[in-house]
Amino acid sequence: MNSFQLGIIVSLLCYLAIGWYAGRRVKHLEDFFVAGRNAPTILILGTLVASFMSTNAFMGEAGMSYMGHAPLVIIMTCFNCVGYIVGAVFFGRYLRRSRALTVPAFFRARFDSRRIQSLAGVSIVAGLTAYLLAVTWGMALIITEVTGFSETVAILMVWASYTLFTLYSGSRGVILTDTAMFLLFSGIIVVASFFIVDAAGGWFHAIKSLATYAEKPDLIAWHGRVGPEVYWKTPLDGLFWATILGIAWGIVVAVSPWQTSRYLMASNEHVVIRSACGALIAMLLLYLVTNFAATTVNLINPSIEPPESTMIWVAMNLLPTALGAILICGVLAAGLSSASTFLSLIGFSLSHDIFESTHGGGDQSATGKPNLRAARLAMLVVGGSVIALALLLPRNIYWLTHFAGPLFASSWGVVAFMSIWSQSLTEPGAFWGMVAGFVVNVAMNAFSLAGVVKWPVLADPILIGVVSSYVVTRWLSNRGQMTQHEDEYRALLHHMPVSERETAAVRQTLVWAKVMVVMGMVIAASLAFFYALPYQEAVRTLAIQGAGALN
Amino acid sequence: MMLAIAYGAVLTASGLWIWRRVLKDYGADEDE
Repeated sequence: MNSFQLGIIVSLLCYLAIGWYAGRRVKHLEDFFVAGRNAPTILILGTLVASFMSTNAFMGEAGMSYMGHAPLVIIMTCFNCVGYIVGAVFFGRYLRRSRALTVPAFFRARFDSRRIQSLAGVSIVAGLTAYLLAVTWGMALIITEVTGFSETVAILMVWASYTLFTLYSGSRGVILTDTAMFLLFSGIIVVASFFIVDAAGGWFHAIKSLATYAEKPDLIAWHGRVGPEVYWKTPLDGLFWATILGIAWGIVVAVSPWQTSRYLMASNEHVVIRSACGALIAMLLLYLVTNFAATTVNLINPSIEPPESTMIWVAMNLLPTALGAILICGVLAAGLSSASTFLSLIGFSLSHDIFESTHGGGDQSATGKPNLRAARLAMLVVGGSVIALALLLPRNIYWLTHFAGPLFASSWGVVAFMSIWSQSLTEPGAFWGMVAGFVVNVAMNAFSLAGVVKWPVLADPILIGVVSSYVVTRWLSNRGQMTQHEDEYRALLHHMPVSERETAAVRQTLVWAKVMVVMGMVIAASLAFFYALPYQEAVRTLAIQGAGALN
Repeated sequence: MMLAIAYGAVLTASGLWIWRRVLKDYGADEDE
């Protein structure tokens, strides 16, 4: 057994042990679904980032950066990270106040509508099963590449690892393992970056070399590589693309179930706000480090194929063996953490929102024991289906990720925010608005996949889905009136519990705001000193040398 | 330089906005 095989097996056993530890404390449906609603900031922050960053961040986006598009990934991140703050303040804390078990259950309570709960539940099952499939493929690909195991064995290993602890411990286990995985992949990517920069000749030498890199010009210019040979023809094309996609993914971050459902587990509203602030900081730093490191790899090996395996190449060829094994475990952890969150949400939605099989006797079964069997059975069935799909379907990780993730922005985005803030949103408006966003997004993606049409960036299916949802929601709501229940429930959501006004808690939350302000200044100054100025100097020197050569 | 400023601006502006929002929604702090 080599170091990579050993590392992967040991890390999987650790996650199982954490899951087993957490599972022993599961007594009620609230423990299983929302971790007893007493999670502290670090666990919510950990699960927010870990469930968002999947293998795609360390493979797909790192590959994009290796190809010379890191600045676009970073600009996109600037926009989508703001979704954490907007989502927490305008939706997340109200969602938590509702004390629902799932996000679809919140919609049911808000609109007194069983069909909305079912619809939201179905969209979770459809969207997250597709996403889970993509993540399972991504992880199996890594295991196959670094261990030499067959694809079937790799898929079964991946499935067993995220299914076992999720099945046993539910959200209690998921938030603990997510946080452990978040710490693992954040730590190792920082360490790996030091090795990469060192191998490239040190920081300032790397910046100078990247700024004047002839094979891939503009590698670290603000717009990255543009021109006739790449997708973005001009810097403005690139900026436009990154802005639109960043806003679209910002809506995903703000309302998607695998992000907002984390807030249901927070011990209070301040934890919701603090963890959103922490997630914004962590994501900005992680994306900066990961994508700059992937770009720098060009100076060490400019011909890695496929580019998505840049970090795997680093782990296997650049880092000392033990650290390489940890980096592989870190990339796998990013995938596993997303997968466990997806699987748990699918199980909850199937059992609680669609079939209502956890409802008998409130959160207890007729025998007085927690009625968790239905949720676990649902996870097992979905997990089995994912194995079958992973083995039978042709692999299409990129498309599935970019279809399934943003589906919720189109379907839920408008309704989620309006359910809190609109004084005229009616049940038919909400229901058909969700349907319109879902259908428009799926149809546009289907046409695109079939090669019938190539949508321009401005007509991205996510954004057109959001606009369609808004138009339908508004149009139907204007033709009806909110019921007394809807009005009263919305008013209840805006009633702030006295306990949330405790001075100590408020002060602690303000510390996070202060940290963000200070970090923003420090990061801007550091980037200017360590990146922008040396970059400008290198480009200027190259231009002078070029002019001298011409003369 | 544009990236450097954008990165810092996102964090600083978000921090200032959260500060204002928390004070507005959860009551005045003694420091205010």
